[in-house]
Amino acid sequence: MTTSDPVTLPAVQHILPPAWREAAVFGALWGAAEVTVGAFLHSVRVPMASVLMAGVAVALLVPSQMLVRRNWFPLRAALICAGLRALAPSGVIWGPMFAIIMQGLVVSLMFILLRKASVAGPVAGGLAALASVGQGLFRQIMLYGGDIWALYVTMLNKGGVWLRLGEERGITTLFLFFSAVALVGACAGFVGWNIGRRALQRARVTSA
Amino acid sequence: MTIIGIAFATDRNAFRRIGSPKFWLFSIIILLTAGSLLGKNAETVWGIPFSADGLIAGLVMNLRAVGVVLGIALISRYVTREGLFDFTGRIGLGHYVPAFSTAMGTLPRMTAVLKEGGSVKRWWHWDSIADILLLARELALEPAGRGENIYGITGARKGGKSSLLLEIADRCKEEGVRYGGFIQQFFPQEGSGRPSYYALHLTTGETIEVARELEPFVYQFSEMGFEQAGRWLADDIPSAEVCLVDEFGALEASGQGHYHTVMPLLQSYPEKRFVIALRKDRIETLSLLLGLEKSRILDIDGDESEREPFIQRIIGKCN
Repeated sequence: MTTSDPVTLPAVQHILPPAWREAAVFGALWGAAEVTVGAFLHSVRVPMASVLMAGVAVALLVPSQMLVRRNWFPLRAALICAGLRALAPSGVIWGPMFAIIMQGLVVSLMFILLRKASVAGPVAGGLAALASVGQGLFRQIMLYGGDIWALYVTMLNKGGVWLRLGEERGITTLFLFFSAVALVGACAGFVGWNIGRRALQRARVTSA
Repeated sequence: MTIIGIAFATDRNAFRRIGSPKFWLFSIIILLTAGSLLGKNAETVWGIPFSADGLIAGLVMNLRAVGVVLGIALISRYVTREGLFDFTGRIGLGHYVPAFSTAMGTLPRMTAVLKEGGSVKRWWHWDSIADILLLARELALEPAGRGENIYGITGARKGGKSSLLLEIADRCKEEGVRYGGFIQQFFPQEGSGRPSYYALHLTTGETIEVARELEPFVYQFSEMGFEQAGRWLADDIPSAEVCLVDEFGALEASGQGHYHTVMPLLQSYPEKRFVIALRKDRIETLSLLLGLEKSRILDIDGDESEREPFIQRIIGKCN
């Protein structure tokens, strides 16, 4: 029996399934926005930067999901985007990465549960914006425990008393603040739905 | 306290994480506000109410924060990038690393197209954003090995690209190779004399206007013209072996014009041969978009002797 000389087989090319290919491309687009705009806003410490970036994310994710129409696509894209965000030349990394993944999760869940893009988009936007604000609070609770929440509520009530607004006004103000944040997010979701609608119209026209 | 002890014993570098002045400033604020607002039986110190219960609660909160930060610092020393990627593979996210690499490779292509888009008016219009997303979807839908069925012809403006496409069509007719598609011609407009650009259907001879020059270097484009040209190509493709497209330029480089009608056909018919005229001033971006290697592009301004072998490669592969 003769044997041939050893041959080094070429490396097997990893064939990326369409689901991950879509996530890679759209995640790259989202990541480009995060790496540039997001890193700048966080480094310069613009107030409510997290809410602004949540709005940008939703405005991108909602029309992308309308085009791709695959469950959990936003979450996969978020994983890619979070990886790209980690490469950004910024001192703030873990917070934005966690926020990005939360945004992907929220949009994924809303599209799975609500199905209709005109509803899922704004709702996902509102929840993503609230999640970005809540993340900071969650981080505080993780670090300092549940007592930090009691401390904030007490501070709010005391503030209401000192400003002669009444003790209950503090909670009302907090509620109004969160409502405004949710509204900003919902507007971003609506914008995203509008862009997605236009993109679908253009796709239908050019493929007719 | 356990975590603090472990950190002290195993990795004192972890304590650098709690060396931030901002962290300590916030800790002091927590301590003071907890002492002032939480707890009962407050006693006034310098006019500010403080309670021992509140101060203890504040101290416990700060100790917890120190422990959490040290714990995360300890964990992060063992979570390396390679370890994380190994972990993603074990839990079924095996495609994550290749997808991440694909995303890194996609960024230059998207950047090239976005830069081209800067030359198109209405950059921030909703439709422009929609076009970018449609372009992203098409990039995502491209199959592996794209571009192997595509050939490019490039050269200076009015240098003979359309003439060469006509020559290829004639050679296909002589050799009995079925062909289809459209080429671009221009005619002067009545009155102004400025050029109007028409797509000419090679099989039926029909024409439709796709663009006209309004002022020097200011053009008006016809979406209807691009759509009709795309329909001609879509009608020809099933029976054609060679498909001719004239031309891809600045508009197509930004994902508009013929791009939307032609790209899906390139992907859907990998067994057909496509010959596309490419504007020389956008050749790099267009090569990137179409997956064209230099070996499959003929520069008509270059060596004349390469022309015949190029034509033979297109027609010869069909025989």
